[in-house]
Amino acid sequence: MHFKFVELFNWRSYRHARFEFPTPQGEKNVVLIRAPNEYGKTSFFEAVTLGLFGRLALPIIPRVRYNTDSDLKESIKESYSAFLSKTLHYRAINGGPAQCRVTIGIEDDEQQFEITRIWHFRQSGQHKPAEDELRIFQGEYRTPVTPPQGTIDSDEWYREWIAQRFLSPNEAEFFLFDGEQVQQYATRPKQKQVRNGIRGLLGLPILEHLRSSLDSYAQRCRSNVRTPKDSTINEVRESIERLSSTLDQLRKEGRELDELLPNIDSQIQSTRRELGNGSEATVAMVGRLIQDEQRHLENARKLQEDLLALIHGDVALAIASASLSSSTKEQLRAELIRAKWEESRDGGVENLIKFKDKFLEYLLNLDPPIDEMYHENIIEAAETSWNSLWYPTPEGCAEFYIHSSLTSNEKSRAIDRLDALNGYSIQEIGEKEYHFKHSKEQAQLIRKQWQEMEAIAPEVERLTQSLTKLSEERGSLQTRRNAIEREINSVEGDLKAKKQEFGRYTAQKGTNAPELRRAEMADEYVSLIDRLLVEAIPREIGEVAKEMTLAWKSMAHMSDRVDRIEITDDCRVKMLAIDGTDLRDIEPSAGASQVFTQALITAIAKVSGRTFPFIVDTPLARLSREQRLGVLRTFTERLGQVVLLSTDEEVVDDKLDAIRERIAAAYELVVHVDRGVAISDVREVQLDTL
Amino acid sequence: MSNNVALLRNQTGRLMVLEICKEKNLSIDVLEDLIDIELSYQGMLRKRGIGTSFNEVFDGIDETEEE
Repeated sequence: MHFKFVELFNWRSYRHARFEFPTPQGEKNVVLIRAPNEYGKTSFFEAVTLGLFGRLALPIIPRVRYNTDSDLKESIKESYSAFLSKTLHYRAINGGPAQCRVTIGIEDDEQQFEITRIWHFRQSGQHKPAEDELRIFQGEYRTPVTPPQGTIDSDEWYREWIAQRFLSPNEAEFFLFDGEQVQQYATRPKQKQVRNGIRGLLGLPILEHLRSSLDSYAQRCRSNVRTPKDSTINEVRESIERLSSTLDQLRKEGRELDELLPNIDSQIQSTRRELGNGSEATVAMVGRLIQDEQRHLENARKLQEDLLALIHGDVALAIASASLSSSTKEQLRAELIRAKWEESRDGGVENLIKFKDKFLEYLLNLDPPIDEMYHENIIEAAETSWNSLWYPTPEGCAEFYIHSSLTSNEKSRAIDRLDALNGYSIQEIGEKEYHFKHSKEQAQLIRKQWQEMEAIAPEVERLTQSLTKLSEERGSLQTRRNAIEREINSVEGDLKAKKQEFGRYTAQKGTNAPELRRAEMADEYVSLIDRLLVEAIPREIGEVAKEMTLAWKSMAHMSDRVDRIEITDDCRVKMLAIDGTDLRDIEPSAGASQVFTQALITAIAKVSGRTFPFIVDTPLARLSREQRLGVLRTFTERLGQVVLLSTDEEVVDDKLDAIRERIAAAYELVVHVDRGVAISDVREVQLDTL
Repeated sequence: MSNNVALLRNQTGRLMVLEICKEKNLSIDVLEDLIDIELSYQGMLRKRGIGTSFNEVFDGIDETEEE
C-alpha cells in the first residue's frame, strides 16, 4: 500500500499544491520532502493525518491545543474546530472559496482509492463543523464508496471503513509521527500504548467484530428452531438473546471507552505540559520576586531606622563640618590637660606652705646659725625652685579655657559624642539616604513585576482546575471500564451456562435441525476467537521485543550497553543490560528517549506486517550524529513507502548518502510572497542533483 | 484475504492460531472465510470471490464432513 498523491487546496500556506509519489519499486521506497522551517512541512503532515482520520487524529497532531473547559467529547469537537479555524489560506478568506480541501490518492493491492475531505468556513475563517464533507472513491472508474442504505451513523461507518481498509486512528501514531514531538509519546504511559498498538495492528478489533456477528448469527439460528410448545426452551432462548444483547452493549461501551481514554490522556498530557512550561516557572518566579521585594524593604527599613536615630540624636553635629568637629575635640582635650595640670599645681601650693614653715624651723636651728638677714633670700630661692617644677606646662595643655562652663566630666562626654559622629559625615548620611530611596524604589518596581506576573495566575488556576477535572473524568471512565470488564466476564459465564442448557434440551428432543448445527458451529468459532483474543498479545509481545531490540541496536549509538529489550505480559517495556538492570531508569537523554520510542514504533509496525506508509516529520530532531544515521537506515529499510519531511539541514551530507539509494522522489518546498501573502509550493528535485 | 488481521499473517500469530484450531478441531481456513465475510459485510472488501454468508460456510463444512 502506498500514497499515489496528496493534493492540498487553501490549506494553511498552500493555495494549491500537488505531491505525486511514485510507486515504491524494490528498495526505492523513500520520498524526501525538504524545506527550511516554516515552509509547510508540518502543514503537509497535518493535512495527510487529518485528511485520513478527521478529528480522530487530533491526539497525534502536535500543534492542537485542547479546550479543557468543556466535557471530553465537546472538547475534542471544539479543539478540532479551533485548529481548523487557523487552516484556511489568507487569500481564500479574502477572495474565496471559503473552503479547504485535502485529497489523498492511495493504491492498495492494485486498487485505487481517493479520500477527499472538505472543510467549510465562514468568511471570517471560522470553521463550520456541521458542513464537513468526506468523499471516498474506489477503482478505475472512481466508484463512490458509501454506507449501505439504512446506516444511521454514516460518520461511524466511514471511520470503520477507513480503519479496516487502511489503518485505525488509534494505530496511526505508529506510522505518522513528528520526530520533535515523539518525546511526548515517551512520557505517556507505555503499557496501554503498547497493548493498543499490538492489539490494533494484529487486527484483533476485526476478530472482535466477527465474534459479535457470529454470536448474533447463532442467536438467529436458534430463533429459527420452532418449538413453541416447549416453554422452557423458549425461556432459555430468550435468556440467551437477552444476555447476548447485554454483552454486545457492554462490549460496545467498552470500545467507546477505549477510544475516549487515549484522548483524555492526551488532553491531560497537553494540560500538564502547559502547566509545566508556563505556570510552574511563573509561580517560582513570582515567589523569587516576592523574596527580592522583601529583601529590599528590609534594607530600606534598617536605613530608615538609622536615619531616624540620627534625626532624634546628633544629626545637627553630624552634618557640621569635619574640621569644626575636630578643632572642638582638640580644644576640649587641651582644656582637660590644663585642668589636670592646674589641679596638680594647686595641690603643690599647699605643700609649699608646709615646706616653707618646716624649712624656716630647720633654718633657725642651724649651728653655726645663719644670719637672719639671709633667711628671707634663702626661703625665696627655695620657693622659686619649687615653683619651677610646674613649668613649662605639659604638652597639649590649653593656654586658656574656651569651655569654662563645662566640668572635666562634661568635656570628656562631649569628646566621646563627637568621636561617635565620625561614621556620619554629611556624605555618608547622604549615601544612607540614597540607599534608602533606592531600596524603596527597587521594592516598588519588583512589586509591580510580580503583580503583573500574578495577573496570569487565573490562567494557572484555570489549567489546574481543568487538570483536576480531566483527571477525575479519566478516573471515572477507567472505573466504568473496569466495571464493564467485570460485567462482561459475569455475563459471559451466564451465557455459556444458558447455551449448554439449551443444547441439552434440544438434544433431549432429538432435534437435529441445520439451524441448530449452524448455531453450534458459530458458538465453537466464537469460543476459538475468545481464546485468540486472550492469547494473541502475550504471544506477540515476544516478537515485538525481538524487533525492538534489533531496531534499538541499529539506531542507538550506545547500543552495546543494551543486551535485550523485554516486554512483560502486562506490556511494560524493559531495556535490559547484561546484568539485568533496566536501563530505561538511568537513560534520561532526550535523544535516547526519542530512539526508544522510535524503536517501539518501528517494531510494532514491523510485527504487524502492515505496509501502511510511514510519514515522519523532522525525523532526526534531537538525535546525535550516530543516532541520526541509525534512525534513517532503520526507518527506510522497511517494506513500504516512507515519506520523510526533513529540514534543509537534516537529511544532508552523510545522512543523505546513507539513504540515497532508497530515494524514489525528492521535493523541496518553496515560499513566494504574493501581494504580501506567503504561499507555499512544491518543486520536484532531480535525484542526480541531490 | 483477511489482509487486515495480521495475527493470521505473521509467522508467530499464524502458528498460534493453527495450534489452537487443531486443539479445538476447527479449521483456520474456515476462520479466514468468516473474517472475509465479516469484512465484506462491513462494505470494506471487494465482493468478488467468496462473497458468501456464514450459512454457506457452515453448510460447506457439513458437506465436507459428510463427504
